[in-house]
Amino acid sequence: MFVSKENKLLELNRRKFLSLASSTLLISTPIAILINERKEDQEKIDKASSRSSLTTTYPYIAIVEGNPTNGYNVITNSGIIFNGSCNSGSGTCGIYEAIEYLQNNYGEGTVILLGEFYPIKSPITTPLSNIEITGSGIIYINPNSAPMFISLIPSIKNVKIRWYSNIGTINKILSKRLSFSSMPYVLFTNTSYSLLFANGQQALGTPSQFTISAWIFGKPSGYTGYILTYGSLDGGEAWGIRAANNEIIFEGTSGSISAPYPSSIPFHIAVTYNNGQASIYINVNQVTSGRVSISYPNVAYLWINNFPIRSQQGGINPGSWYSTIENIQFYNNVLSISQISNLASSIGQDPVTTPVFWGLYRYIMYLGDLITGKGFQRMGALCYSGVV
Amino acid sequence: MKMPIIVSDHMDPDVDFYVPPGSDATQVLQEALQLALVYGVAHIIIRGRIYVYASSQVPLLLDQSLHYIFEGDGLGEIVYVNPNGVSNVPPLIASSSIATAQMHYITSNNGVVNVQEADYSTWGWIIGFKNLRLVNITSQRWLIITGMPYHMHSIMFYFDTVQFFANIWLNQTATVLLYNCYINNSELLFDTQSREVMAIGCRFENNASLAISPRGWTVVGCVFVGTNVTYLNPGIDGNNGSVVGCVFDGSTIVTQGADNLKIVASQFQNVTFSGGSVQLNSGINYGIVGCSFYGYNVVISDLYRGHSVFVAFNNFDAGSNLVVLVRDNYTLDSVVILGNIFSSDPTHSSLIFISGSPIPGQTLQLTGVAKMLYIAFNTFINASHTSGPVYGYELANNYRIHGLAYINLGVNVIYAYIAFNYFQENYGLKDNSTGQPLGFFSLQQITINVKPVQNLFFYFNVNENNPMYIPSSQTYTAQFNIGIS
Repeated sequence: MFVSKENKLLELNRRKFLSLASSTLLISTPIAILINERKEDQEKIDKASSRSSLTTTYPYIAIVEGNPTNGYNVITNSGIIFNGSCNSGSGTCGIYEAIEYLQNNYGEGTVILLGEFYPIKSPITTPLSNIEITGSGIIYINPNSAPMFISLIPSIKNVKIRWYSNIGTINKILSKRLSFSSMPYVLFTNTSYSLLFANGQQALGTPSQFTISAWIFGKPSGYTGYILTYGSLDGGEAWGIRAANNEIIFEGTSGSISAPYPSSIPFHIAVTYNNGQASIYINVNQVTSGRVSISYPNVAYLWINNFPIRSQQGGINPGSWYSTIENIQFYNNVLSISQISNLASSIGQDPVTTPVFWGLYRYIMYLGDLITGKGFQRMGALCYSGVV
Repeated sequence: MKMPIIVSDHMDPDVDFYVPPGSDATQVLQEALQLALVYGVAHIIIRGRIYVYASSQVPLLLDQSLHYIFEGDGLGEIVYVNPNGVSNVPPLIASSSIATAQMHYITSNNGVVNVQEADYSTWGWIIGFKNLRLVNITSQRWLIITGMPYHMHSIMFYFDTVQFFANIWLNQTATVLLYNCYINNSELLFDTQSREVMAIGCRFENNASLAISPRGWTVVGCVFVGTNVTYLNPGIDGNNGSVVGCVFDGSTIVTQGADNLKIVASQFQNVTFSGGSVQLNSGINYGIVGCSFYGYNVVISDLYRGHSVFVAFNNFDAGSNLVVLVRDNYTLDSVVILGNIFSSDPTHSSLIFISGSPIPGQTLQLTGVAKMLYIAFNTFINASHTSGPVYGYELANNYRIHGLAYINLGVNVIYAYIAFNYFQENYGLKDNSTGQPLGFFSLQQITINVKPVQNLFFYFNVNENNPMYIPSSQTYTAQFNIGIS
């Protein structure tokens, strides 16, 4: 039985491990025995375990401990079965390996996490009925590992889950509430619903350069087909992304560019705008560009789905029984093609730099802008309303 | 994990935001509201007592991104204070209206909702306060101020078991429900362009007031207790209101022009306190039905827009006069006094006075006209069967209409049917001013403008030897009566 000390292995006898594995014991005592030759780790783990005073549900345990600097170990009664970084193996810092070990050997067990984990993959995305994950660790998930760890939340006790990049208000929210959803949670069930984001009189400012990024699940309408719009019903439209007549359109106050509507949904769209020159990228590919002129009204909000200035049913047609407009990011600069490529790589991809606005709608449940923490205005007849 | 976000001055393990006693909870409340976007509903539980320090900004600006439920745990307390000496203290709570303002401009094309409906609808937006004691000890008069642009009515408030030690001023409301609230020395004002206020089971006391200007409101089962400055006050345009099943003790209903006010099955008594009154001014279509007045004068005055006053099936006891006053130069279409009992005692008379009030700012002339007068099926008694004085009623400019009779007219009347009434023997009641025994009917020409009733009819009455006081020029028809010839 071994535990690491900067990759140096430390032997423990089986009896000590078995006492550690006893399901009714608080883990604080055996862990202290386990690592009593390593003062700094002992202090760390003592502190962590005394905070959590954990009990385990299952008689079989696997300990996953480590941090990004020193790497991770999975300690079992078969010895260390994993030693590496978060990129290694399954891409889960050894957490999936620990689960797999317990499932294969015992059909059940408790995974104890100690340390900080930055998993980057989702080898499983279904809940586990026979595995418990506990400990004083913190898992920092990203868009690629979110599906696995969100699905494991029913099995997770005490372990904290945070976003790997502490941008905007994300981890402030997550420190108070476990607010995750593996599925999109803002579903526009018709063409009339909309959300609007207000942040002062001009919610996104009046930039001469910007980039809009979003994931769209919907079909073009025969008429307006608004997806994202910046403007107000009394002040008019500064710019809008629309899906009408089987085209995807970016229009300004005057002028517009368009391209054939993508044949498969969902798709990623990016629109870049640089002092009158606009381009549309669909799934990273630039599909059109041209001159578009924008003048900003005094009152401008970001509208998502319907912008009921020409039709009360002015939103995008549902992709199935609903449409989604997800992971909306707005930058006050023109992103590079590699940045756009990054954003197009996954539906939950978080920002490449700090954006002006970020509405995610999947993974982290929050009906507002994750950058400012401001909410969407929605208590009107055509506004998406009710609880999240 | 639970949905409500707990803000507390107690260090319980389930508290989300701990605020040390006496410290400022502003930041914490704002963070709690931000966190609430996880759910779309701000269910903020206040445990214990939290203080909010005034600053130059409104501490809680409620916008349409959330539903709001502020709920005390058992009973929570929010105390608005100003320890930093801010000179212009803003209200604690205000509302913004971004989405509703935008809905004002939606196109009607391809409509799924009528644009006016979008303007006037709450669309389910809720701002609720439950189990809270709201205390304001700043210089700001109003703890809560709301208003919406474009005369929209898009706020739905409910206050459930809230104790108000603070004034609130809500404008342009849609439905507001006050349920089981307690109001002490505070004013609840529902003002400009409001709609649909309901107060149910609330207690107003100690100079508290419920002032309502919405069109369409109801006050049901409420208690107004205290000196005569505890008010139910329908404002100038507080039309179409109902007061049902309420208890008034020493308190006052005073209106400033509310139309169509109905006061039904309510109790007015000076039991614990004194000085209560009912003063209905300037409106039309007042209806007072099935109420009990005990030591309460009911004065309906400055009637100048025609229509009717309807008073039926009430008891007026122990010093409860019914006074109806028509504005000079104006006509009231009808007064209907039906099925009441007027029960007098010595020094506590309960009589009918129908007279006049001046044009505002002018002296009383008594040139008004009560066109049609029905007084029927009433019972007039001296409940004590003992002798003593009765009193008149003082009109404007020191004019006085004497308590000469159970029914006293001091204004012009075109038609009067007085029928099916029982005028009990007065048992020695006398008008305190003239010393004359109490009669069953008087017409008092207080000024030369008061003419005889043009058509005065007495039918089917029983009068037990009480005199009638009418000028010699007054003619009348009396048939099928007992004791009136």
